[in-house]
Amino acid sequence: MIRQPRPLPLIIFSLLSALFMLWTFDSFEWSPFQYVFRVAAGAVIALAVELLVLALIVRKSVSTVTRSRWLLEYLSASATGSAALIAWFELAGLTQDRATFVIALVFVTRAINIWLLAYLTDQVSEYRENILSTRAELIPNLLATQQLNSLVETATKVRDQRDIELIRQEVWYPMVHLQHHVRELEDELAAAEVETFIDQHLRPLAHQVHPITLSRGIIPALRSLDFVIDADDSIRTLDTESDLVDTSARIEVFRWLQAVEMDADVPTTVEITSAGAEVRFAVHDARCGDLDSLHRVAGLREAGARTILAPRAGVEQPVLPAPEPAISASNWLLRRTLLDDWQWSPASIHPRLLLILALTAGAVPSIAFIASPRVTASSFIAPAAWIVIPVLIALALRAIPAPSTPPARPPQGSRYRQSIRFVATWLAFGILSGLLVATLEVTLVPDFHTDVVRQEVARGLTRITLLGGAVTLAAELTWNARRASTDVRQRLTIAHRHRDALLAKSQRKAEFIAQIVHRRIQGRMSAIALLFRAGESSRAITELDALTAKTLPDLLGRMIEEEPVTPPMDSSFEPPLGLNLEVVAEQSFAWHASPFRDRIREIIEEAGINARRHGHARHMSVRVIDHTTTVEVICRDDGKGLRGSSTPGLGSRLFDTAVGDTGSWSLRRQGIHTVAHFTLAKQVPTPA
Amino acid sequence: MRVIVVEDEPLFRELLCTGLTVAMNDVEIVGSFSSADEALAATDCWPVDVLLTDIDLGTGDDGVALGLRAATAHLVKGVVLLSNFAMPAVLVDIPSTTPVGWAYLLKTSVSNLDQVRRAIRGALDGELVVDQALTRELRPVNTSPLAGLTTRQLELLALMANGWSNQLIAQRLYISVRTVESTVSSIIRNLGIDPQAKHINARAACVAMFLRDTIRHRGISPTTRAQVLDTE
Repeated sequence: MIRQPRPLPLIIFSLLSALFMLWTFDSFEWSPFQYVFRVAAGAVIALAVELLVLALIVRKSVSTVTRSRWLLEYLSASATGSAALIAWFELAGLTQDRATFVIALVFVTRAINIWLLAYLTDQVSEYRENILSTRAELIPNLLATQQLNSLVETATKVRDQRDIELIRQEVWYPMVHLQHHVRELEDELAAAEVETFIDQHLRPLAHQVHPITLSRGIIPALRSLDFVIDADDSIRTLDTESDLVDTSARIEVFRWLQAVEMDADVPTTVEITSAGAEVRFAVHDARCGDLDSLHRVAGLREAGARTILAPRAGVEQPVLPAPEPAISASNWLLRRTLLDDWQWSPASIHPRLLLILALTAGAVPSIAFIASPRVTASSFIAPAAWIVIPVLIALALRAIPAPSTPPARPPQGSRYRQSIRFVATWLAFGILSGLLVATLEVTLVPDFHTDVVRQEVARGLTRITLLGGAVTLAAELTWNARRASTDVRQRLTIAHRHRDALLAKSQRKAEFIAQIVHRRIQGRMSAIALLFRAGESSRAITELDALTAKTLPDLLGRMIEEEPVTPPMDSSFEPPLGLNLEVVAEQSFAWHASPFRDRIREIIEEAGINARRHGHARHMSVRVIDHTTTVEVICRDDGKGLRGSSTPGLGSRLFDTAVGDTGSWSLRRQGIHTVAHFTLAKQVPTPA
Repeated sequence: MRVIVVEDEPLFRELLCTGLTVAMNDVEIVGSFSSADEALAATDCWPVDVLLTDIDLGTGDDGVALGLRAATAHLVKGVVLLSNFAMPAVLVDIPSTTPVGWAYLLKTSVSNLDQVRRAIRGALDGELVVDQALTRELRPVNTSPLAGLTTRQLELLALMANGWSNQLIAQRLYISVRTVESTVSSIIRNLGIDPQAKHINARAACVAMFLRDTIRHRGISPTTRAQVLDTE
């Protein structure tokens, strides 16, 4: 599906064709005013007819159409426009020869030129939208996510530190005191002391850090905090089945409600109601605190005084604030963007594009024929030469091998050099084509024209340099813009995954602390109380000594150890548009720990881009195998492959860079698949 | 009475099994396990009369889920949950149609063998039993039918929740068994519970409402614990 036909290419073409007609037509005996009026009126009439036809046939309800419909709609408009133009020429006396051939040529060239212009304007529009979307929406979103992640990291550290301090102050030190105190007591009293310690210190703490009741739903957990719950049966059923609040949000709802300051005399009620894709928790008769970063990143948001909304289980929630309004699309921004993002692959001249341009050849030959009093056999030499020569030059240029070590991307500060190189290439190509065509014409028909060289060079500049360069530039810019947008999207995905990893780590740590307090210490202390009651005081004291002298310091030490949080990489690949990418790594292969992480990602992404762009692949599967001394990456796609291209492109140079001096890569056809095989060496040999 | 014990703290499990065997002559420990999966895998131990399990069993199913699975498969007649947490509200969310009785005890109450015995008996009889340390200082919320009960009825309801039989309640409160029976009937009636309803234990339904519609002060104060110990 592509963009719906628009009037813009028709308007541009009418303007350009009018200028061209003014330049090339014979003004006969008319005054300049009469001549300009006739030509301009022809252009306006043709345009008006085209716009009318387009308005009649374009469906307003859709924004995209199929490629065939797109071609047909522009063709219908241009055909009627051509008919109107020829009719006007006849009325105005601008034609002296109504050869069928000429009329057909006007029809064909007008249609193809409009298609080309439509392609150009569509490409530029897409490029502009991509760049603006990247700048105005994605980048602020990415920055907001990264800032939020940073806040979450800080909040997690503060919370961890607080928990560690809590255990130190509320568990360890009182336990050391208890350890000395119980030695002086009778067994029964010692047991009572231990049980009091569990009641006063361990139980509230374990519950505060990580309430086990949450595993049975938010409602039992809130009841254990002495809230009165006001919820209907459907809410209670959902909660029992763990379908009420999203898992990561549940603990944060609990923590927020845990901090509520209750009135000692009045029971505090929590009213739980459904609110679309969220669940509303409204607290009555109590004072509530604000939501912190961890609450917010888990999807909680305020909804009035003492009320929060939490995401429903299984419903995807936007956790980020809406991005700022889009930056206004000023011309200045667009111009700046054009230069900033102009990081193309080395200027490429495609024979197929040139064949299309040569076949259509703009309005030049048709006008030449219209202006000519007679169509002779020699008139066909120019169009034939304009078809053959540019294509032959393009094929010859492709056969020349590229420099051995071109940069994968232009180095910093070289974008103007790249721009100049691009313009110079196309200028040279246009002029060379014109000169060769003129030489051919003069050789075959010596009296062809007196001013043939000037005319053919001018045609080369308009036909090849202007059109070919513009089409290539538009395609390159769009490709770059799409790539930049994909890159930012990918970084945004990684940032989101990083946030998820941070939250998961926070939850794991809370569970770990709860396990320390509950399973390892509280359980053992209950057993110690039983030992005292059973009269086994010496064994009880030995167990208590082991807890305070070894278990607790060990566990606290483990809590303080920082665990790196790295986003998972295996699912963070952003495939090119239209490509279904499936990446399978061996289970033992840790993406985040691999030193090849970035290189593998680069290889997979570039292979995906190549498979889609050159091979038109729809599916690519990637296997990553971790060997003792190498890492293998095998990319298999269902595209057409490179079809024996001998010119190393940007992709192959990127592959060379990615595998490095000690690695290797190859490309081969295997049945209906194209297989790219990469080997990265783990150990770089050191020079003797 | 065949009992299975599931507890992930090895020392506590060992002491619990020893204590139960020594103190209760009719108890036979047919298996002791550290996790729900381990317990369910020991097919030759099932069915049993009572499952005595810690709620938090680490990874895998927790004690409540284990009890529900065993009850649904008719492998057990009563489930006694042990916990270090004061959260008897988990009993409220157990489906009332589960054909077994449930008890909830704090681990620190295990040394009180009378209470353990009451919990096991109550669970076997299909009732809901809660550790007495957890039913002190509870007061009904205004919107509940419990708010319509008298202080005496509430006191009696709390004893029912602790697993006391009518006879023991009568002895404790110095009243006749007939009076206790009549008070229990009026409690059931006042709370709107149908005593004839199929698959519903009316006493258990009263206790479930008692747990659901009451609030307490946070934590269990040392005073409360001392009072509880005194009454024992």
